[in-house]
Amino acid sequence: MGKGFWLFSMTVAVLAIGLPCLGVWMRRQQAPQCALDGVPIDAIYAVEIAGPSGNHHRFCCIRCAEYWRAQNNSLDETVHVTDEVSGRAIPAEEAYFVRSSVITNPITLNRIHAFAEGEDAEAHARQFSGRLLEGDARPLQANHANLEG
Amino acid sequence: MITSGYSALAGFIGVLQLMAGAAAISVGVRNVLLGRVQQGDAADRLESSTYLAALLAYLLLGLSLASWIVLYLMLDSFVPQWPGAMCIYGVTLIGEGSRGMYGWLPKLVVLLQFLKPALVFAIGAALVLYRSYRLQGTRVLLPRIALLLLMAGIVASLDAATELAYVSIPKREDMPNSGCCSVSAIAPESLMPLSPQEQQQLSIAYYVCQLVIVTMLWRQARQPGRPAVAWPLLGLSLAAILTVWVSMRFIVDVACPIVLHLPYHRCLYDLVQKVPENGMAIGLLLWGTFCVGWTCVLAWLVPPYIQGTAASRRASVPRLGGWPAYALVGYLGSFVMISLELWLA
Repeated sequence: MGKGFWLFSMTVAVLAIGLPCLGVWMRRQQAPQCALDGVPIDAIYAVEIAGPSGNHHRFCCIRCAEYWRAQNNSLDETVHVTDEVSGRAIPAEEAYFVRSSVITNPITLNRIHAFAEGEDAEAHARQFSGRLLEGDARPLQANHANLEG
Repeated sequence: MITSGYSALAGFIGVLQLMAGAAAISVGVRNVLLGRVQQGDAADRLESSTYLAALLAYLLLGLSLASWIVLYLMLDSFVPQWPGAMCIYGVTLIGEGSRGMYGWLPKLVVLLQFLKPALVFAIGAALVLYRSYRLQGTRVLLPRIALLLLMAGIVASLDAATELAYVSIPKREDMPNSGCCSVSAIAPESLMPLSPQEQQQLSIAYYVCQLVIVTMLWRQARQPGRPAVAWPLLGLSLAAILTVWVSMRFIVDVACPIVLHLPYHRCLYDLVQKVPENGMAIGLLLWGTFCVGWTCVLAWLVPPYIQGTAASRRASVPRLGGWPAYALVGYLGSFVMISLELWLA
């Protein structure tokens, strides 16, 4: 084999070993991404599902969390959504949900919003042609995945 | 209308490629006709015309590689302009379900993604044969080079015309009901990843294919001066086709979810966008496949009595036996990169 071949081989060997190591090292400081579709998570719309074994999954919107739960139906999960007014995490069963004209994520087209206070939810519904989700229409209920947008 | 600087660049390269492709067809037709003439000076005219044909082939190779890269840069530049898209896959859906020219866009982009590698392979085959001719100095190869260049010219023109059509059709801001490969575009059942058993089977198939092709290439590369026998190379080419298919399935269905840390995400575009070094792993896989193809082209188009000449053995550039070694490096490089990515993930 000629000199060119060995040069080519050495270059490929160095790149094949070096690039993955370099890439993994550079991606260590990446912003959190949605566990379903990988888009960066906007903290105000974040949803977190914690499994019984302590493993956490974060999602960019309620719709992604709903789809994820549809695939991983577990009764022992605890789900926290983010109150859009204060930005704090609240248990999903205590939250008020509103489906309105405001899209939180242009990719998933999620229109469901979470609030800690009923007044905030009603104010959002009035302002953006929304309606409060109650009963079976509430998303992220235990052992139930509502896939409507 | 959605557009970007890369659209203009893609259009410019497309026009150049169309012109070079038309010139290659014209030179190719002339050379093919000259190759059929039995008069004494026809062979001289064919030989001198082949140099021009080779220059055109080098030009086309540069343009086709540039246009291949620019196509993906252009599609990537449309992502932020298209609200429903999170990666190139979303862009490839623009126009889906629409009527008229706008509805052609998804088909055109799929066609382009097949034509680009086919074009690089066709031009590479013509140039590999041309290098063999330069090393061995036999005129027997000239009509075959002319035929390959003619085919490359046709593919180049078709590719350029398709690209120009894609660039020129307006991409309106009509929002589709669903955007991308995320939840909105894919039904829940198709979000389901392969079962662990299927993933294991695919992984075994991938490693077996790699082992088989590497062994076959190693045996071929150990005897670089030996004239290649056409029939065993048919097995090698079939193994290469199977390997590239299994490898791509493995990368999409097994490697993507692991490397991206997204269990329901099987998108090749996202993989290359978010873990760019995988682009090189796929490039090396294609390089290995192309080298096997060029080996077969040489074995089938170069007459056996000139394959193993003393001149070819003395030559320092890749000869018939050199391409399997280059293919071997490509496959091994790709295999090491993908395995390392999976291990580090």
